[in-house]
Amino acid sequence: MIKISSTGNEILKKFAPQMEGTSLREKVWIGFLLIIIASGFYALYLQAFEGHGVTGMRDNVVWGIYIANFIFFIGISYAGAIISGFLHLLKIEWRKPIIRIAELITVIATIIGPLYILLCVGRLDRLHHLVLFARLQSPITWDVLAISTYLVGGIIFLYLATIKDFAIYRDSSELKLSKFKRWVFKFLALNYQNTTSQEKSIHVSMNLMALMIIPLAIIVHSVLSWIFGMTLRPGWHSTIFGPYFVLAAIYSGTGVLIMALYLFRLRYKLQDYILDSHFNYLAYIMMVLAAGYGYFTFSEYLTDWYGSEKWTSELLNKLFSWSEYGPMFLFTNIGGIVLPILVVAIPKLRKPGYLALVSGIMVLAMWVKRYLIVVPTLETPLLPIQDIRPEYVKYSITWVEWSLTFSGIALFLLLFTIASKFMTLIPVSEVSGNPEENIEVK
Amino acid sequence: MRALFTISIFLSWAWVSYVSGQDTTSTEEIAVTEEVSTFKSRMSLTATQLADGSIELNALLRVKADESYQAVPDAKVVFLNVVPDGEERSLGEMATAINGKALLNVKTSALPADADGYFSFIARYDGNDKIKASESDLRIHPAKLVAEAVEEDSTYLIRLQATADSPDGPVPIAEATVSVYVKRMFSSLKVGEGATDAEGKVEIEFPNDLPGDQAANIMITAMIEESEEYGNLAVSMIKPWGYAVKFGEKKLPPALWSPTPPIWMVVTFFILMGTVWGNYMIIVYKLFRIRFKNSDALQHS
Repeated sequence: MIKISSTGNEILKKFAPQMEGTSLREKVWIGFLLIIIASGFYALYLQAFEGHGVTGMRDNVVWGIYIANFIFFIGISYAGAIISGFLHLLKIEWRKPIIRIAELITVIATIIGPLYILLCVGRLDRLHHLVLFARLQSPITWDVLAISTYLVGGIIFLYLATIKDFAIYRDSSELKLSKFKRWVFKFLALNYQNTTSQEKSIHVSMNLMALMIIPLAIIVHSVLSWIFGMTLRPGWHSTIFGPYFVLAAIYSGTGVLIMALYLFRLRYKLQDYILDSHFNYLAYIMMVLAAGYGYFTFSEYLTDWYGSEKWTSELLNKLFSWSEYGPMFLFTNIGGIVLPILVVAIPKLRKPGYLALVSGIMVLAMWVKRYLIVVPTLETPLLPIQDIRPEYVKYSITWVEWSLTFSGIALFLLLFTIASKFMTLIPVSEVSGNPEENIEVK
Repeated sequence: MRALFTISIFLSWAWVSYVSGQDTTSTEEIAVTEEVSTFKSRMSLTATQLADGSIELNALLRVKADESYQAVPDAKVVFLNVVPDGEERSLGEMATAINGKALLNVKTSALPADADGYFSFIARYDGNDKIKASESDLRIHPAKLVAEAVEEDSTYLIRLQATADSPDGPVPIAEATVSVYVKRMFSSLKVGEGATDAEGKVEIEFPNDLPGDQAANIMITAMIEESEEYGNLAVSMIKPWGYAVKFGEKKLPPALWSPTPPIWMVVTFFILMGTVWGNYMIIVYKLFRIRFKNSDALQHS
């Protein structure tokens, strides 16, 4: 039998109803998510059998909202990797109550992100050609390898951090679990008995993974940016795209983490464990990242604008034009850079509620930013096209694409809900007896 | 706080409405008035008399649009032979290719000639809603160009004779310009020219420094072109008069554009992937140890 702290025991009791069964409220919630996902399946059916004509993608704009979603989901997945990796290596104690949620965001977002690539490509029957006829020189090949490697790393990292908890669930007399769940926990706990050698093995493995997950996350998002950066297109062919993407990814991921912490704290009444201080620490990280991201954005567009290269100027005119992408571009800068800095900088506004709200606006702004990276560039072709029908040049999102986008978000929430049935969202094995100790930076 | 969340949801909705609004705008812009007009077509008909006694009829259909003639593809062209009493007999019909051309090969043995010994042809296009009908006629005297390839002291010669048919037998075609071409990848290359003598004969030297295929073969065509009386006269042959060109696969250097990636890229790739997956293996091994080796005597805590 593994011993846990009194705080751990309290957390276990708090999450016990969630893990033992499904309330009516949860069933309605899951049903709601499943309806959205079902509508996505219908949209997918139409897309598969009627072709990509049901989407807004055409000859010029061959990438649309799907690729924006892909970059967005892969981006937010880095919050868990980078934040939990750094905090683990630096042995920062306050990380413990929030680390599970961060790691779950990593794994779930990394599962959902690549699904949008599958939605984007035609001829899914030839998908295996990507592996069979892969060229090592192609950034697409790098991306496939990097993301799959990263996903495996994220799962291992999450699993290592959860083994002790699984052993606790297995041995707990507080939890009234079904035979199936008990068996699952027994299997996942790997016969963990808290022996010295077992403890050491997990500790060494966690350190190894924490060391590796940080450069891995940086490389993966750099590779993702190179899909654009290696292409000689205005707005894409930039040397700073790698760090720009990495910073934007961690930034948006921090926003999602703050939102998730706020919602879970509200839902499960976790005010005693997820403290205001946690929000403040994450807010400081968010502010620093916002400043860095703002600097990169300014540097990128100033260089492009000053160069006055013909095609780049045409793209910038679209981004700055009020009748085209101007409102969206302004929103990405106000909502994505200025607002988060202001809210964190003003002490009166530095409250969990405001921080969650501004994080939500920032995350939306970051999604719009991904859209602005993908679409306006493709709407600015280097060569004139023969068919100049407006819908062949101008991209418009169709309901099929919206439906599949919302399905992805619903799937993200559903997987989180399912995960919460198999683990406590605060690691019971990690938290100490005194909640205040959890926020002490050692 | 709830009010603030309501505001955020409203902002999200407003943004979605804005993007959806763009959709509507672009749909309105699509509406374009289609202008219907009729184009005048133009048919051109030429014929090439081949050495095997057949005639290749070549019709070209074009329309005048934007101050230039443009080929009409996939249009049905009917080829007709006009017999001595003025009746039109169909020889066949062909659809034009993407270059607006339609070709039909007919045997002269089945064609009736008029009193002067000429063949008369018509190529006709019936038109449609947008393109008006057009036709072109052609009258040619049957004739033949024959060739003999001779190799003398490592010099290649092509001896040609052009004759026209007559009731009294073949009549030499004198002072006709004969050109010799070889087939290259995209078009024909002119390699020699000469004029026929009183007997309709001409001898043209052929160059010996041309690249052929892997067996040194070259497709040679001799032609009398655009004669008002005879149309085109042509004769073709394949001779091993070139030098053999080997098309063996050349090994490309490792590069971004070649099938083989640069060495540094392969090395970097294997180092990176090897390091990461090697670590994964170590961790999986440690997990196995946790699973199967728990007989540690020292109980922690």
